[in-house]
Amino acid sequence: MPLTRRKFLIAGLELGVAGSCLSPALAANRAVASSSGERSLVVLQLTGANDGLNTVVPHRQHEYQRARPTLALPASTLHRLDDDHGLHESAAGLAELYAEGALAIVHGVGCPDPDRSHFRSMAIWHSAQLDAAQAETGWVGRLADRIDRATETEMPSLHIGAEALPLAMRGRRWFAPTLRDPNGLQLTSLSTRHAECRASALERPHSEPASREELAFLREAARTSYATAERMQGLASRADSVAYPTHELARKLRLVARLLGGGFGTRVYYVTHDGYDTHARQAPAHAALLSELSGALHAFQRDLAAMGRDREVLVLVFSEFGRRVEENGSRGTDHGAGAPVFLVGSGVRGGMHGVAPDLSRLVDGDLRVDVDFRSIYAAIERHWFGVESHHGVAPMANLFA
Amino acid sequence: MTQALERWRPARGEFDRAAAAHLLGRAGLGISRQQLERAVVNGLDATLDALFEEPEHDPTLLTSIDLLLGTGSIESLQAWWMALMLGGRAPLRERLTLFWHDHFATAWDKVRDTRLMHRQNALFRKHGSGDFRVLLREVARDPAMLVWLDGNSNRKGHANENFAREVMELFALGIGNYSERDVSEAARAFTGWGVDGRRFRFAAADHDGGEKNLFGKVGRWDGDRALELILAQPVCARHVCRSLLQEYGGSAPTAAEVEPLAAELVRNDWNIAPVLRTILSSRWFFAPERRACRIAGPVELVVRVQARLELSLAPARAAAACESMGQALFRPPSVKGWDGGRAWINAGTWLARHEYMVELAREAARDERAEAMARELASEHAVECGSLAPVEAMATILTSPQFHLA
Amino acid sequence: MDSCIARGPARGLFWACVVGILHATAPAAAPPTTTGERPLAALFPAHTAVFISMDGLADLLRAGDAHPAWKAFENSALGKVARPLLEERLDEGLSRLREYAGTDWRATFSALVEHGAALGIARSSEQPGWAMVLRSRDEATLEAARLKAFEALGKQVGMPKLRDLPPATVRGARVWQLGPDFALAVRGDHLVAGNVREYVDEIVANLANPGALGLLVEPALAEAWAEDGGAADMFVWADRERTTLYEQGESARGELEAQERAARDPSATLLLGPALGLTPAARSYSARLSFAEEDPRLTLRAHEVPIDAELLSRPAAASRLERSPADLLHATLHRDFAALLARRTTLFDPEHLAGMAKGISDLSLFFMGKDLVEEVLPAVSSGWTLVSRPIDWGVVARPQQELPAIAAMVDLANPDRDGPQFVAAFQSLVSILNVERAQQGEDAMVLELALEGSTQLSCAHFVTPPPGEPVDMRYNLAPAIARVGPTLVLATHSSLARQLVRELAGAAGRATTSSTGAESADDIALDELRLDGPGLARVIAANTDALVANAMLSEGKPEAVARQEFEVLRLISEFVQSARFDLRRAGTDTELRIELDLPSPALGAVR
Repeated sequence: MPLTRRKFLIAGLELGVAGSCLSPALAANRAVASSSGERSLVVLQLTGANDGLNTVVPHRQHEYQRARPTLALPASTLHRLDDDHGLHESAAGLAELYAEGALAIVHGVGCPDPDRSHFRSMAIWHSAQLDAAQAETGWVGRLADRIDRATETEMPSLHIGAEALPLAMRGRRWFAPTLRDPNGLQLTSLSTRHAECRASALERPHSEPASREELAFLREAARTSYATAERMQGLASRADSVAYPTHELARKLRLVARLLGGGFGTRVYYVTHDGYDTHARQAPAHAALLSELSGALHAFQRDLAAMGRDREVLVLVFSEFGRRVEENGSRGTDHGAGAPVFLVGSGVRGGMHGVAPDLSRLVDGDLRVDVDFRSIYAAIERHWFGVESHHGVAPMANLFA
Repeated sequence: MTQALERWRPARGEFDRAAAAHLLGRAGLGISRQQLERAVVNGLDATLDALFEEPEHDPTLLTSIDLLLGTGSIESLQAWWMALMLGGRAPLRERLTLFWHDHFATAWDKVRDTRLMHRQNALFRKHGSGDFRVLLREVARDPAMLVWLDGNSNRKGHANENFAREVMELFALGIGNYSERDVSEAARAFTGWGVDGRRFRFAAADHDGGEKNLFGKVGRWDGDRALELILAQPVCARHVCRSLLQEYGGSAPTAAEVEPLAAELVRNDWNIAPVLRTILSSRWFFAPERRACRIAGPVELVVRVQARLELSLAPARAAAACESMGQALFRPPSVKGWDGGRAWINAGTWLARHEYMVELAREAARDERAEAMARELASEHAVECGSLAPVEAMATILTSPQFHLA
Repeated sequence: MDSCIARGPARGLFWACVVGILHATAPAAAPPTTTGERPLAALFPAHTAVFISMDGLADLLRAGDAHPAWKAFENSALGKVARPLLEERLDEGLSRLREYAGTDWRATFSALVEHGAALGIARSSEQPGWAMVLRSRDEATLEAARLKAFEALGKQVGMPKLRDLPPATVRGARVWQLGPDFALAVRGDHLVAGNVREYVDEIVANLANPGALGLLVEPALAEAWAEDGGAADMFVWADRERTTLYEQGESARGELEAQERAARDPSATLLLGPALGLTPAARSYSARLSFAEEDPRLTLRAHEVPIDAELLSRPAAASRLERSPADLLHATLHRDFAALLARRTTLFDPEHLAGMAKGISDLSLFFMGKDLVEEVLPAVSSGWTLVSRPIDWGVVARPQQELPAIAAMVDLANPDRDGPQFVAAFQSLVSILNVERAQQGEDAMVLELALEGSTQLSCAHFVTPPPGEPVDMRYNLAPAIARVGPTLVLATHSSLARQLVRELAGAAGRATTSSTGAESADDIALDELRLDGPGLARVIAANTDALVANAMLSEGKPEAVARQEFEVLRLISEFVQSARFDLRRAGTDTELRIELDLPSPALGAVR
C-alpha cells in the first residue's frame, strides 16, 4: 500500500514531543505553488504587555500629561495619525504604513474580564477561551487544522523562534513545528557527489521483506525532509530586495517573507518579540522596542510588495494586555487592561477601528476593554480566510478591504 | 516452554553473524565487531550467559556523577548515563534500564532535582532484572516519582488521583483494565505517601484509613496492599510481558505469545531476567520478520554507531544530539514516555539525525582504516557509494534509511 | 655544474628537488658589512606582518642547562613532571641539529646567532612567506657552518657536490635557491634564509643599503629599540591587518572587520575596561620577554588603540585594602561605568543599543526607577577593588565542591545619601530571584541582617540542608552587601564580606595605597591584578575530582588523561608563585605588563 502524504503527516502528529520539530512537508519533486490569491497570516506577539497608550498616543487629552508626568510623550515628537492621535516617534515605519492605508489600529481590545497575570492572560489570548486553565489547543492551531482541510496545503503553520511552541499554535490534527534558526533548516552536503548518492540511496530497491513498510516510511521522511530543507535554504538565501534591520525580529520576518514569496506553502506563521514588560524606566526601553518592531514590519511590507504578495498577507500584532494609565514611581507602568491591536497589510482597511481610548472613562484606572479580542480572531477566520469561526462572538466588521 | 516462544536450538552454523548481530543489538544497545565475532564463535547459549552475567560498569565512571550532582546540571546527568551506555560494559543492564526509564517515565522538567533523578535511575539499574514486584514497590515510593505524579500532595479528603491512575493505566495494568472507581479507591489507599526533603515519608495523619473497594475486594487497604492487589490482577503480568515483548521483539505481540510468558513470569516469582532470556532465546525472536523491523531510537542509534565505527564519542555531545533527535534522557515528553517507532521520525528529527551522522562520519573518516570500514558498511547495508571519498561514503551510509532500522 | 643540475635529486627529505639558479657567476668578494649597530628590524621590509627577534639566544644556548630559569624549572615539581615530556619532543629536533651542525651544535649555533637572530613573516608575491636573519660572530664562522650544512644536506639528497654549488650574486650577497621553497643568502657575517625568494631578496637589498630603515618605520619598533636597545631577550611585533591577511590575502578582509566589531562589543568594554576591551582594534601589537634576570617579565603592548582620551583621563584607581596573604586574587580596576554608558551611542554599534537599553531598564527596576546612567552610576567612584579568597566555612555547611568567594569594593561619592539605595537594590534583587526560583520549583534564599562590629550587613543564603543530605554547589553562594564608611562591599559569600568589613574598619584613617609606576599625563596606571599561584593550585587540587569527572563526561577523555592535564595545570599554578598583571596607558598605546614570580633558582645568575 503506497504511503500517502496524509499518512506521513499524521505519523508526524503522533509525536508528543514537547520540544518541537519540523513536521513532514513537501513531496519530493512537487513544486509547491501556493496559488496567488491564497491568503496568509503572520501572528506577531509582543510579550510582556506593550504600553498601548504610549504607542498610539491620545495627546489631546490633558489627563494623559497629568497621569504621566515623566512618561508622557510631547505631541510634537509624535507621527500624526489623526487630529487626536499620534504614533510614538520611534515608529516611523508604522506611521508610513498607516499613511498608505496598510495599518489598521483597533483600539480598546482585551479580555472581557481582564486578568493581570501575564501567564493567565496570555493563555486566554492563545486559547481564545476565557477559562484557559485546562486549554490544550490554541486558536491558531485550530485555524491551521481547518485551513489544511480546506485547501490541501502541506505545512499549514510554522513557529519561528527559540521559545517553546506557544499554546496558540497547538492544534488537534496538526503539530506545528518550531524553527529555531531564522536562517532556515540545516542540511549539510559534503559535496555534490555526496548529495547525489544520498538521494539515490533513497531510491534503490530493497529486498528485506520484513522492513519494507518501515523502510518506505523512512525513505519518504528523508525525501521530504531534504526537499523541505533545500527549499527553505534556497528561499532563505535569496538576495534581499529590501534592506532589513539586523535584529532578530527582522530576521524572523525576513524568513517569513522569503517563504511566503517563494510559495513555500505554509500560510500561518507565529513569531514573538519580547521585552515589553516595562515596570521601570520605560522610556528608553520602549523606544528601542518600538523602533525594532516598526523597522521590521516596514521592511517586511516593502519586501512583500516587491514580490507582489502584499495584498495576501496579514500581520496581527497583539499583546496580552495594556498598561495602566498612571505611571508608577519607577518611571514605568504596571499591568493594565485595554490596548490597541494592529493589523498590517495591504489587504486591511487602514485607519482607526474600535473605540478610541477615553482617559476620562477609565475602569479602575485602566483603559476600557471595548472590543473582545475574539471578535478580531473571528474576523480573521471568517472574513480573511473564509472559514468558519466558533468563538461565540460576532466577527468585527470592516477590518479588511 | 510454550509453543509460541519455543526455544531455538540452532544447528551448527545457524547462529551466524546475522543472528548474533540481531541478538546483541536487541539485548544491548550496540555491537562492536569483536563482540560479534566472539558471539558467533561461542554460540547462542554461551552468548546469552555472558549477557546475563551482570558485568559491572567502570566504577570510576559510575561514581563520577556523584561530584557533579551538586551542580544541579541535568546535562551532566544526561552525559553520565550516556557515558555508561557508550562504555559498553553492561549492555543488557543498560538497555533494560532505558526500558524501565521509558516505562516509568519521569521528567526532570517537573522534578527539578538531579539527585532525585539519579536515584531513580539507580533504582532501575538495581532492580530492573529482578523481581518486578519489588521494582514496582520501590518506584511507587521513589521521591522523584512522587513529585512527578503529585503523589506528594495526596491527602485524606483531597485525594489526588494522578498517581493511582498512572500506576494502573501505564505501569501495571494497561488502559481499560480497571474501573474509575478502582482509581479513586487506590488514590485513597495512597494518601499519606509523600516526600520530605529528598526522602519518602508516610504521614499517618494524612492517610485515609477507611474501607476501600479495590477490584471488588474490600478492606482498609494502604498503599502497599493496593499495590499487591494490582499485582494480583492477571492482566498485570500480561501487561508487563507485552511491554517486554514489544521492546525486545520489535513488534506488537499476540495473545498467544503474551499469555504463556505471563504465566512464566509469575512462576518465576516475577523475576524479569529469566523471562527476558526466554524471549531472547526463542524462535519467535529470531524470526526474519523480527529482524531490523523497527526504527532505532536516538540513543540506540548513537550507541550502535559508536560501537560499529569504533569511535570514541564525547558523552555530553552525544546526549545533546539525542535530545535534538527527540530523546532527551531524563526528560521524556510525558508520563507515557517516548512513543517510539515511526514517532521518532519527522522532518526535524530526521534532519537532526542527518546532521549528527555527518558529524560522526567526519570523525570516523579520520581513522586510517576508514576506507575499509566504509566498504564493509556499504555492503552490509546495501548502499551504493562507488567513487565517494571515505567521509562521503560514511555520511551516505549512516544517513541511509536502512541504517536506521534496528 | 650543469650536469649536477640536469641530473636532479634522487631522494629528498625536505627539499623535493634541487634547482640550480640562473647562471654561475663567480661570487664577487663582498665588501665587509658594517652591521654592528643596526637593529635587525631595519633589514626586514616595511610590509612585514610579524617580526620576532631573539637577541639573547646566544647566551641562552651557551648557558644551556645552567641558565637560572631553566634550573629553577628543573627543580620544581612542575619541571620534574614536564621535563621527560619535553625531552621527547626536543630529542627529535636536537638530533636533526646535530646532523647539520655537528656534535658541538650548541657552540656552533651560539656563534651563528652571536650578534642577533630574527624571524619575519610577510605576505610576499601573493604567498605567505617567512624569512630569518642570523648575525654571526664573523664571516669565517658563518662560511664554515654553511659549508658543513651544505655537505650534510648534499648527503641527504644524494648530491655530494652540493657544497660546491655556485650561488647567484644579488647586491653583494651570495644566494642559493635550494628547491622552490627555500632560498639562502650570505653576506659577510649575515645569513638570510626564507621560503619566498622575493622576500629574501628584499632583506638582502636592505642589507646592502646601510641607510635602509626597513621595519623601523614602524613607530612601535623604533621606540622599542630606542628604549632598551634590544635588552629584551625576545621581542615580538605584529601588525594586525597584515597578520590577518597573511594566509589568504584580501579574502580575509571580512575577518579584519570582525575584529573591529569585536572591539566594539559592549560587554568586552564594560568588563575589561576600554583600554583592554578595545585592543582588538589596535593597529599593531608587541611583546617583550626578558628572562636574563631572576624573574621573567613579559610586557605586551597594543599600539594605537582607538580609545577616546576622555574616557581615561581620571586618576588611577587606588586599592582600598592592603593585599593579604589569603588573597587568591587582588585587583584594582579603573572602570568608569557612568562615563562609558553615557557615551554608549557613540561607543557601541546600534544593534547592541537596544539590548543595552533593555538591560539598563531592567536594572533600574532595582533602584526604584532612578536613571541608572545619570543618577546611580555616577554616585559610584571609578576605582574598584576585587578580592577573592577561599571561603571560611566556620560552622556553615560545607558543599562537596568548594569554590572561592569574590568581593568587589568601591567608594561612594556621597555614602550616607546613596548607600541605602544600594543595599535596597541588593534586597530587591534577591527577592526577585526568589520569585523566579519559586516558579521553577527551586528553593529560595533567606534575607537577613547581620552585624559585624558596628557595621550592618545584608546577607542572603539558602536554607541549611537537613543533616545527612549532601550540600550542593549552590551553597558556595551566600551574597552579602555592607557599607563601611565610604566603601561599599559586595561579596558572593558573607564570610568574605565580614572579613573585609573588619579589615576596612581597622584600616579607616589609614592612607590608601596607590598604584606603582611613574605617572604622567601620558602614562596612566589603569588596572592591576595579582594572582596567587599556590592558592589557585590548592583550589584546583580541591576540585580536581569534579573537574576530571566533568572532563570525562563532557569530552569523553579517559580518566588518566584528564587527571594528568589537571595535574599539570595545578603544577603550573604552583610553580608561578604569583603573577602580576599591570595595565597602563601610554599615549595611544595600551601596555599590559606581566611579571611572573618563579621559585628562586638553585644557582646564582649566569651573568
